[in-house]
Amino acid sequence: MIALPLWLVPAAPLALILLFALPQARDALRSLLPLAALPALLAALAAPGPMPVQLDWLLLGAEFALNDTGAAFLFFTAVLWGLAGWQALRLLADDPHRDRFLACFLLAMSGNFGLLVAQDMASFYSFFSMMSLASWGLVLHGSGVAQRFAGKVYIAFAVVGEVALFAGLAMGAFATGDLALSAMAAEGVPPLAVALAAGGLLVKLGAVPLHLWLPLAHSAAPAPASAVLSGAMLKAGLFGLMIVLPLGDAPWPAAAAALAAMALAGLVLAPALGLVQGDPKSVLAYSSIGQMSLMALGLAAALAAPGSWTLIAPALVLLAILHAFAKASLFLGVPAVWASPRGATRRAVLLTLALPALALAGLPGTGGFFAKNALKTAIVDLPQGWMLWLVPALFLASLGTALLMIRALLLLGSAKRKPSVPADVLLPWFGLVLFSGVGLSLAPVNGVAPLSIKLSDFLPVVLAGTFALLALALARAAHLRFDPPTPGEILGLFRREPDPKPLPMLPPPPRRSRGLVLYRGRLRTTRPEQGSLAILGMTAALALFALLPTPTVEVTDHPSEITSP
Amino acid sequence: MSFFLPLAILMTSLGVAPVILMMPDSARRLRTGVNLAAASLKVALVAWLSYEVAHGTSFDLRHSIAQGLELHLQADALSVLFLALSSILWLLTTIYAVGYLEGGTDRSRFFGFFSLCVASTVGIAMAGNLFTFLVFFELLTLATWPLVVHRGTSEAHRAGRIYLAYTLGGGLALTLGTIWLYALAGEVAFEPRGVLGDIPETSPLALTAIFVLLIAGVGVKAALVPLHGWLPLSMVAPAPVSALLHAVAVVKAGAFGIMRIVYDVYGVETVQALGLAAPLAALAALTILWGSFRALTQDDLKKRLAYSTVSQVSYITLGVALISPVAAIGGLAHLVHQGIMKITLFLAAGNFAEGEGVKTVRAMDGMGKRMPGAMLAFTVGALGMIGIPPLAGFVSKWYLGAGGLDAGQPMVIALLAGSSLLNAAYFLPILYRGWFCAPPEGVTPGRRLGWMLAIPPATTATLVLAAGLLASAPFSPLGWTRFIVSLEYL
Amino acid sequence: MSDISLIVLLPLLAAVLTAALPRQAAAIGTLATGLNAFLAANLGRQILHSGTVTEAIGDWTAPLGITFDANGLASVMLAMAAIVGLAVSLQAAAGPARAGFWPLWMATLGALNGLFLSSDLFNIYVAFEILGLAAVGLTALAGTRASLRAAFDYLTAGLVGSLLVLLGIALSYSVTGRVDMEAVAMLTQSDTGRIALALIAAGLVVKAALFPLHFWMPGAHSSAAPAASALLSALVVKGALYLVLRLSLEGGAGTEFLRNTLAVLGAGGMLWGAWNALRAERLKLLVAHSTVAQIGLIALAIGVAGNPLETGLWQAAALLMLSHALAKAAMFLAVGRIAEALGHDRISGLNREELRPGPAEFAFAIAAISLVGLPPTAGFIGKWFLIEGLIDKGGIHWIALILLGTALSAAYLSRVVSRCLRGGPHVSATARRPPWRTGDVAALGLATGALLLGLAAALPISLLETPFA
Repeated sequence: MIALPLWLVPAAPLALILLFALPQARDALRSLLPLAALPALLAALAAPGPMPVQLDWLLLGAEFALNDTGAAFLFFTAVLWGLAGWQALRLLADDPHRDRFLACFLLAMSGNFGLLVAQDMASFYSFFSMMSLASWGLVLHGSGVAQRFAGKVYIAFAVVGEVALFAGLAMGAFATGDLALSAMAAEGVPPLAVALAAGGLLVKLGAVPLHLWLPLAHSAAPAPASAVLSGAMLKAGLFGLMIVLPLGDAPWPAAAAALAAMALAGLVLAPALGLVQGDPKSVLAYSSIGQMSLMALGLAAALAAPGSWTLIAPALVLLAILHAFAKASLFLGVPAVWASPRGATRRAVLLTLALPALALAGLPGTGGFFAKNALKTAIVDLPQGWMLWLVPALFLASLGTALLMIRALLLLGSAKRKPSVPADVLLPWFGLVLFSGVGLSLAPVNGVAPLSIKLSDFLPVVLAGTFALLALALARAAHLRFDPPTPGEILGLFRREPDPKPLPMLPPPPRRSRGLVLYRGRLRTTRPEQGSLAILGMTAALALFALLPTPTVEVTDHPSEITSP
Repeated sequence: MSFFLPLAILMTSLGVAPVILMMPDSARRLRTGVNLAAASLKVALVAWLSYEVAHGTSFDLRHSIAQGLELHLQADALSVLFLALSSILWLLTTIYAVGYLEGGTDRSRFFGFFSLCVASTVGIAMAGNLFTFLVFFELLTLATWPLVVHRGTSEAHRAGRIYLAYTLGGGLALTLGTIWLYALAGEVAFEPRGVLGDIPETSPLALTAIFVLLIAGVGVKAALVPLHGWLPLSMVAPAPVSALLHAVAVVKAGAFGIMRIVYDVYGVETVQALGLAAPLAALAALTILWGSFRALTQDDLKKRLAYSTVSQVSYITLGVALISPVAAIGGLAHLVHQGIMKITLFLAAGNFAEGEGVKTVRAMDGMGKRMPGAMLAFTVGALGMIGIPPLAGFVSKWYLGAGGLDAGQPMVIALLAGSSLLNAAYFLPILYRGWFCAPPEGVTPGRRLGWMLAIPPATTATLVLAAGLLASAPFSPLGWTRFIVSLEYL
Repeated sequence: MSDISLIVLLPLLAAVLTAALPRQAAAIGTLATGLNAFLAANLGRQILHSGTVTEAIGDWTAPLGITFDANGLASVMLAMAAIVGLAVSLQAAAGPARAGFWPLWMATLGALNGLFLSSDLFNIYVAFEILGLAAVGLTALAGTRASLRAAFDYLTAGLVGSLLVLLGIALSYSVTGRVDMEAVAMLTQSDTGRIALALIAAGLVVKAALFPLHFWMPGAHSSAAPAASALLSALVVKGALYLVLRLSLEGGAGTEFLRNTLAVLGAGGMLWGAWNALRAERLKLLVAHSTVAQIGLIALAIGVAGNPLETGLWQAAALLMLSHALAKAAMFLAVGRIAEALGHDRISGLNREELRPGPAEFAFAIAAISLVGLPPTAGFIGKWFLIEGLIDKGGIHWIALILLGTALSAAYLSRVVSRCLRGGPHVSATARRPPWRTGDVAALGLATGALLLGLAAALPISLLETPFA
């Protein structure tokens, strides 16, 4: 196999954008969009990984390399971007702003790929912000009210996150004198620096309470964009945290507790808030928060018990891959549902969608169960007290996810068909579902042991199913209809007051010119007799002055006193 | 022959200015030809000069006026930085201005003073002592005035008067400070690490007063709060003037003056020993925040950019005042970076006004569709200003942040973060309106702009990208500033 | 006949000739001015090489002699008169012929040259009297009611001034028994002598139009013809100022009282002149009031310079005189052209829609730079040395005053210059631009000369530094 230069991974989408400048070539280039992810996929799968690249002239001296974790992330990221791009091409075939969307899409893609291979802070940060800012365009694409609101919230969070990341990285770089990203986890980096950098990344990860942008953005963006946002970009936050946090070194209880608290809050809040949403994409977004919180929990555990990091890390990667594929399948499935008429097609689509949903819910036998169990077994050596709530928390996560999945599928099932959505959006979606099936076996992850299935492991899914059936029955019996709240949680409760109408006003008084004409009166002419008086007076004064006793003719000692006679 | 290059570089604009002033307005081709030829020649000469300076050649041009008073042009690394910036941007702005003023009146006057402006900038860059600096500094004040009032409206004249009042007042302070320093120290040549010798020990109070006077003098041009009032008002000038004023000539001359005073007159050690660095840094910090705050509420596009300039130029001052080599790299690099970013923004804004009549933020809706090229350039400039990598602004902010830590001032990080947020808060809405809002109903397509208006912003936007992306390449602004700083701090 | 006496006699001879041959007056006058410039340059070169040149006419030497004493200061003043004279002659020769101008102007030049070169009080008085009378004639030349009235005021004031000077000289002769410049130093030793000095000084203050005895001056300078105004403002008042400077120089420490008075009066004049210039409605009046302010500045410079035997600060005053002469002459010539093109000289009326700014307005703007004293003009160099010296001496309040005066002069001159920069909607598309005239060339040349003089300041400074005999 030809050695793939690593810089090609982020450069391929960028090259495509540059070629977009030629209007004649655009039609041809658009169909190439999914292929922009190909170098990344090849790099992820190459048997001996690509050689590291050192580009001293780039930015502050850039270094690209691909390690095992990076390869795993790059793998699913590449697949997701490629397939989502394909669906985007189909879905937005008649959109007047298609090219704007595609440009943002490619930029974000390049950023996402790039940050996975970047080894130094500057290029990591560059790619990270490229991804974040370009996604703003993805969120805003529909240019409706929801999109504008979501866009505002999104960009505010993104920029604050960027700035925090910048501050953290700058402080870290100064403390160690090393521009390598991994230096952030080294000894001697001030905790504040790590906290700031981690804060920036946690915004991206969607940890509670930094998640407010996430449901809004996911439901506002077009489905393929939501798929990559949720499947790939949230993982960028995780990826960054895995490098930046001092995992596997000394325990850091305070940070672990804080992170765990955020994760727990996410695990509880996500189902609670997600269940009441009326938009399937919103529900899926809340489920993402829950899942990402689960991963944050893994990080927290590793911070508390560094010894278990070698086990937790592959489990987290596994979880990330699973969530990426499953959630992306679900998001891409939304337009698929829209495109399918009610009846057999719709049922087939929904049934297919149930597969990733069940996997996410952790039904034994699916990859989801496998991944969750891997995480569960990896968390050992925890300090006193953690186990007490960890087990219920994990159970709650599974239950919550299962409930959210059922809610999402129900909502999708009752979704109206949108005739504007072309039928060929089904194709990329189906491709992704297929890929998800084989994806886990392909993904380059090592070090997770297989395990047996117990009956109790079915409990969350069964419980969720029961709850759902009960709730449906209750609703049917009592003639209840659910009225979903406005999206945006806390932010959704605020309304901007309309600008007051201008009062009818008198025109302001004319402003006097600030010219330098100070006085416009006539100048008096001096009369001659006044002049002669003045002359005489002056002469007399001079004579008097001359007669005043002067210091001696010699040189005065105080040359400064020139005014004194 | 060490006098030839500085003289030639100066004369390619100082000598050209009277020629252009004397031309009749109707001699359009001749004037454009002379202008462009001179500007291109200057770029070539500056390239030659920078090559020579990088190889250690020294240049000297002296003209004695009286005992202990001489005009002295030289070329060190710092001069080359400023020279390269002004000559390249002069060429681009001239091309732009030719296109912009097509069909306007008083063009000979405009281009004559335009050249004179650049001549004084070049003189400031190459000044070898404080007196020479002062001479060209005042010349710059005068040469810019006709450009500010070029439109001839009463608003323009009001702005011109205020501009003149501020800058001449500053000039007086600078003059007094300079004379005082000459009286105290004899001829004040610019030398790395200062020229004051043991005067700081003998008369610290006088030196402090002189420092305040000098900084107040150059601070007017550098738009340090509270001396910045003229800058937003001067926005009534035509777009190329705003671009030149804001990116190259006036504000940069001020910032450059601060550098010269701190580095080459006082020397960083003296400044620190006199306890002057911290107040200067605090003033710069105040300016950064205040400028950004004021920019938030401006609806006029150029005024918003002007307040942004107020804020951004103080990054340079901050980098100088932090007394740390790392911060100095950031500040110096920002001299160039801010220049190319801000000129991009102004040229693009000029194109909006010229092509579609859009002058306010409110009216920016749909600019991405209406003028994609200009909007793209504007976007690059704006993102660079916020400090988004891999654009130029990121590099300077990175070094400034690290420099703040290096100087033991972690608050600088908070300042940079806050300023970046404010920058984002006033730039991103413009981008949002431009790219994601639909053009207002019933808007008619404006006039098509010629290549003379389209190429310069595109070029500078590319430069913004290149300056950030290739920051570590040799001869990049960053690389050059590292070279300079290695001379100032050893 | 030596160069020194030639330079005095030549213009006087030309005065007689031009009076006798009015048709060829312009040609003769211009030729004489040219020759005068050549002689002045030659003399300057000589002084630069071999120091002060002295000539005793008719072998009358001190204490009673008529000696011509060409020192550095004198030669700078001669050069100043020659340069301004060249430009004014150029303008006058090209402009409308006015009977009587050339003889008067030649007499003025001769008197000035004599004044600068003389080094005895009596000669000085004679030259001074000729100068005063010729100047009155120049004022009246315009022939308007206003100019006649102004000329009469001028005549009266001038006569009183001359009388005071004469009285002082007579008194000094009675005290010291000599009329050469050595007398000044001796005068300071006795009370009567000092009164004599005070009388002379008072007369000079009137003639120099120093505040508060400037009352006659704005009227005279603003109502005369442009060429005459230029001469009056640039040269004639300089004659008196030059004498004040000579008194201060010769008197040494003994004339400290004189200098103190001058400094105070100068400061007053600077502020009062500036204030009136800010209020002035007519362009010429503004320029005339600016002369009051500038004379104030020069007097202030002479006043604060301290004992000339100790410091060279007085050279700053000489530089300021030089710079002011060139710039002010340029300005009056330019104003003449502006008024000619406009048909009036109201400042508010400068914004004429059908008239674009022309070369004269450009010249005015350049001259304004010199008057304000921005670099690189000689005015700036002068102020530089003055302030530098004051810093050494610790006269911080004087510095503040000088800076204030500078700021004010920028303020009142910008009133005009900003109107010279008109354009845009206030000028109609078909507006014409005034064509080039010889007057424009003269004004522009002088203004540029004033601007660039700072760069060549080494020459006058080295002249000023040649030691006195």
